[in-house]
Amino acid sequence: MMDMTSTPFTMQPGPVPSTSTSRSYPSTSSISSPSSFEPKPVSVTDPRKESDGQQPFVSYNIVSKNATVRRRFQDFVWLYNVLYNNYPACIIPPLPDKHRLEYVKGDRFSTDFVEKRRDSLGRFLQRIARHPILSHSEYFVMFLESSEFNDSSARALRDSQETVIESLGDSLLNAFTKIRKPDQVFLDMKDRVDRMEENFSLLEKTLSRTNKRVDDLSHDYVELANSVNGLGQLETNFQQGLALFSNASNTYANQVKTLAAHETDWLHHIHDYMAYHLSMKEVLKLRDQKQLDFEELSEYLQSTVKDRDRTMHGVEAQNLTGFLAGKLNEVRGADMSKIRRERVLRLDDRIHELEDAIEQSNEVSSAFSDQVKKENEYFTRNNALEMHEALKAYASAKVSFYQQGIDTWQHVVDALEEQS
Amino acid sequence: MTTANSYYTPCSCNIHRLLTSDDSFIYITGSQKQSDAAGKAYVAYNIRLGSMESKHRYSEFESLCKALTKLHPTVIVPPIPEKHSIMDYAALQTRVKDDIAMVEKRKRMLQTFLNRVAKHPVLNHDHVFHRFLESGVPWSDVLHSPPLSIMPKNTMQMIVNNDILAARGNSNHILSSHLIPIPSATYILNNPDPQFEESEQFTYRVANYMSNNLEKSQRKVIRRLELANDYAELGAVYNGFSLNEENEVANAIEKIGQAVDASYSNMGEMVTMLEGDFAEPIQEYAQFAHTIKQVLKFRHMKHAQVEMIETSLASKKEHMQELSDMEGEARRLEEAIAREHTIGQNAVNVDDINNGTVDADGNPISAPNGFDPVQSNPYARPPTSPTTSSPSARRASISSPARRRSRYAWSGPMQMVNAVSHTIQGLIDVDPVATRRNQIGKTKDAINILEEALDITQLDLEGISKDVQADLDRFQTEKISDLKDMLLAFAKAHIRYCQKNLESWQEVKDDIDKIPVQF
Repeated sequence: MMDMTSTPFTMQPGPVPSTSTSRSYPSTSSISSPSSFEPKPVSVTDPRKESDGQQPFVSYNIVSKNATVRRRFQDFVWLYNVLYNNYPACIIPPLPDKHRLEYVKGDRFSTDFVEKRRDSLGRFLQRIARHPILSHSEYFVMFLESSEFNDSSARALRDSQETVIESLGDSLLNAFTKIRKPDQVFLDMKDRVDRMEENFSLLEKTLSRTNKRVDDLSHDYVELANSVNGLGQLETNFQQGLALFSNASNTYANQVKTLAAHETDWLHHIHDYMAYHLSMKEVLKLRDQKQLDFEELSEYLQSTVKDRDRTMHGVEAQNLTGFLAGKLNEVRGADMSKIRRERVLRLDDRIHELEDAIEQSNEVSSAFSDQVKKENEYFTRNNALEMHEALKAYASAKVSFYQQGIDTWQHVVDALEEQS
Repeated sequence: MTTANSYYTPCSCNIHRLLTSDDSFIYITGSQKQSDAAGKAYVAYNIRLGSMESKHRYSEFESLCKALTKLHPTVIVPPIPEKHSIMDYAALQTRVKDDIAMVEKRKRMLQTFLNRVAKHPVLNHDHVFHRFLESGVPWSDVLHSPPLSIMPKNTMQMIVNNDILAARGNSNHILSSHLIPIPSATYILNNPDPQFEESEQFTYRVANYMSNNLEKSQRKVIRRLELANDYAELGAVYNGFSLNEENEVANAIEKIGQAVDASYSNMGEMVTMLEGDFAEPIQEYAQFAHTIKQVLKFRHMKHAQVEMIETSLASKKEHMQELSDMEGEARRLEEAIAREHTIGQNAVNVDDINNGTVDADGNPISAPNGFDPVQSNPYARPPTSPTTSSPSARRASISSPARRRSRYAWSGPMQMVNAVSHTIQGLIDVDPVATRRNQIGKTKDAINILEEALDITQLDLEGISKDVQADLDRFQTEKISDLKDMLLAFAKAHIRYCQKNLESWQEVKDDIDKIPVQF
């Protein structure tokens, strides 16, 4: 059960709470309405291996409208944590997997791994930049622009801002207790995410299988090229024609390999897309939790009121303990009516407390729910953009492959038909 | 090509006219399961040429192929698809006869076989082939009538060249004489023709390469492409995905699903094209090698036969010489006895005879000349061939001096045996003179037969060599042309595949551009 006195909406004291737009959930929109919101372009480039004197690490160039800075993965982790803590009703985009196999294998400086990470980190920042609330967070701005980021004082401050992240999520959200009055809107959202998850894992599985085959196919065409070339050594009067074909097969093999690389990119995008949906799911759970808190408080209030009414009207306790206690009191010669009055007073106090808490909880729950509805909009809008980009790249790669394929083989046909 | 054959007369019947007309492609239009007399099922293939139709089963095709090979030993007869192997049976779940892909493949390859035969300048005149194509002619009839019914068991007993027969006004039987040797397969030529040796080597190298290297690598590509079944699953996944999205995004993803589905059928089409126009010809050419081997072997054997006849002739002549020398000595002895002390003025230095520098009559023997190999075309013949020199000069030059036997008994075990038998004969003989006269007569006859056979076979060999060379050249040209067609087919199949997929993915791209992206 949540601590009733402070809600998770209160801001931790931060370094520069300047404008009102740094508050998470103003009910009146002091934030610019979605249609006029222009996301700032941000990109992650140029990964470089550096050393802090103890261990090597990779740093990335962060290019934004107002500045260009260098940051490392650790810094991204800080940004994530701090946003997660301070904007619980927002869907914070996930970081690329920290505990990947490459760490175990010691391969975390390989070009492939670094490139994938750079791509995902870029997506992470773009998603934040597209979020009307998160993009205005001073933490984000600091991340993008601060030149003192690497000073020790700044670091110390940041350490205090981070709390252990795992707890908030898991401990509360494990039991998915049923809400009494589920809102269809949120049920639909959850449904959608679940189905998306299913589709994606199936897609990922199938695509990685077909992609392996495409890669193998590329090698097969190289082998064929060698075979045909070898035949040319024997059938010397047709050597030219055979060599021509052999070259085309090699060229095609390269094109197939490139296609396989694009498939891998597409797979990677899908993976990131799926991870973002999981973040959304977590927020939905949290929202449900808030509603649950409210509902449980209300229930508690109800039973407390009932209790007080019963006590007041002298109806004895219904259960065995109460009966025994009553009997014991009789034996001790306690004053029943005094006891009763004290009890009623205690219950009244509790009822007042509860009523306050409920009011607050209700506010929290409604505000949270409203925000989540808005989050859904931002989320959907972002996804359309991301999908658009990813699909465009994928389809372009396919179109390009088939066009090149036609050219490669047409060249063979033209050359051979000429040799009449 | 000059080839004509004693068992074969070029036929220009109406079927030949059909074959050379415009509408001359032979089609195998279909196949049906039928039952033979014993009730066992088999597949019959329907053949159509122009308006003429006939039906044959696989074993009959096999029989035709064998017949053509026997009738035309100097021709490279096209191969038929191999019999179903144990592997085929093991790999399939249904019976091999029922498997559609197998039957289709056979149809294609048998059709190719018939058309290659039809295109061959010699084979397409063959009436046995014509009768195969003719409607209503059962194959057993063809097998039991000439020429197939009268062919000798062994092709070495055949005279291939018709012109020789015409010149001799003779039947074939001279080669059936017991005197005429039939070389064994392992006979090694004393004077192998380097040109044909080279051709043999080349043929083996190419065939090995085709069946080991090229066949394997092209099979890998096609097999990998066949795994396009994955795509069908993928299409369904994308469709499910699109149901979860909205509007334009859903549309775009649905289109991807469709493009992926299309990939599946396009791939299947490409694989079929590659099987028929690329993979099968490679298999055929690997098989052709076997046929060429047979043809070259035939020529090799004829050459071997010629050498063996020469050897036999030489030994007979030697024997003759011995006999006539003995005869001569006997006579001289008589004369000497009559003349008392004359020494033979015709005596010849025995050592010279032994060394082979001088023959029995005292004539010097010259050394043979060699052949010059030349090549641009691997099968090409040099322009001036030593095979045009006259038979008698060749007879003298081909035999190697080293093989001439010594006249005297002590130079080898054979000589020992001869000497012993000679002595025994002398002991047993009542009348050595009469026996000797008898032997001289027989040997003379044998020599005549052998000389004639040698003449014939040498001429035949010349003709055979020329024809084999011509067919090798024709084959080489056809092979290069076929190779070119195969490469073209491969390229075109890929172009078609890429074009169709390009269309569907361009539609996808267009739909993606419709996704609204405002902020």
